[in-house]
Amino acid sequence: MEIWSLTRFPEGSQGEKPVPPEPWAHDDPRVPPIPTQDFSNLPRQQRGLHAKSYEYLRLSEGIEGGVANFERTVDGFLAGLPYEQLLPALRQINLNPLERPVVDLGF
Amino acid sequence: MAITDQRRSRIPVPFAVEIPDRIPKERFYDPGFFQQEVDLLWSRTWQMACRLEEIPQPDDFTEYQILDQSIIVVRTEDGGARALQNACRHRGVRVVEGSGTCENGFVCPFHGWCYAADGTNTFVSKARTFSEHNLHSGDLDLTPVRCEVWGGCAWINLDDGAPPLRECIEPFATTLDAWKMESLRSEWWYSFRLPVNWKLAEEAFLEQYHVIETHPQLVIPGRFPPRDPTTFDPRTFVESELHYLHTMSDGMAGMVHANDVAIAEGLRDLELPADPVLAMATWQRRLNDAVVEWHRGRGCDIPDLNELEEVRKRR
Repeated sequence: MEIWSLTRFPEGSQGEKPVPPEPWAHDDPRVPPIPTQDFSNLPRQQRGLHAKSYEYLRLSEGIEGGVANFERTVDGFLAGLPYEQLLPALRQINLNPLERPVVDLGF
Repeated sequence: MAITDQRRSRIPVPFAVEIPDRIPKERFYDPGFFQQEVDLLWSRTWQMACRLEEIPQPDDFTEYQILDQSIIVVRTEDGGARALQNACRHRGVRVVEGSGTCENGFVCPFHGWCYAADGTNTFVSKARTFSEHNLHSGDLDLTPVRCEVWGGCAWINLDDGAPPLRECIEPFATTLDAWKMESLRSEWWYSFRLPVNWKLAEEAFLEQYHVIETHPQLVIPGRFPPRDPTTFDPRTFVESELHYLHTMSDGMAGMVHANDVAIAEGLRDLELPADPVLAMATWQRRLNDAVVEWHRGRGCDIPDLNELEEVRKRR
């Protein structure tokens, strides 16, 4: 995963040419605090999913639609749907996903 | 009927999402599912290949890799970019690694086949020793890849039949254009190796439901209107806002930029109305104005943030 920080420079000055970063481990102490908190959950989720009794991510219809709509759009690609069917779904997920409900994607 | 009650079975995908708010777990570790993503998703989706600051001059190039594909992105004279598959048409060697300039073209390190910056083959050594059918012109050029420039980035798509970039990233593109995305420049760039499926990593950032438990330091009392408006204290509100901005700034190496935090600090003593809703709106409007003024004062291109807020509210 990569994160870029973009900001405004006076017109004409370009900032420095970015150099490709060495990837850090998810728990590297140099990772800033907020992503460190996010990253600490992720390997535990990846391992936890395998539990025998666990079958599916149980999402909130009201506020985790960002996840649900994205996964369903992935299915549209995997089903080989034509672009005219994928574009309306992309328009639904190319929005601020926070607090989004599950929406109809048209397929 | 709620959308989550609809069962979908028309999609012939293994481990498909049949009930929209239930995501089968196998999607995050099944090798067959991953292979389907390789074959049917990554092969036909627009991807940010690089920032244009990485290739500032004409003929500067950088290599973008996705799965087993390597693509050369070259800056063009007109400020745009072009992309080429990074495989010599002779024996398949990757013609370049990393980044550099191709003002003198590309030379394959194996047998010295040469290509111009636009991928045209310019030299085949001992060409007379090849049969004619292996030297058809057009078959010898580096294969072009769809490439478009938007928002200060070069984007590629491995599917020649995909719609133009902009159609695939709306309404994000229109929103970010209003922010003058193209005038932003890179300040830093981090890379992390996460031992998880790519979708789990992405989805940790697609909701804010997790904030209360995962990032408790961001839940700061006093930032929202109190139930009883007579208990509202504008000074406490401003302190809470500043504390939040500092925490966001320190927490993500500038998720709120240090410049903006300093500008907000300059408004610490701002007179605010006693009414909480009015006070919060006034604070935000004055802060937006101060940020715009500061940037314009040093010659940065920045939109009027309060106008953007008005546009957002009208949507």
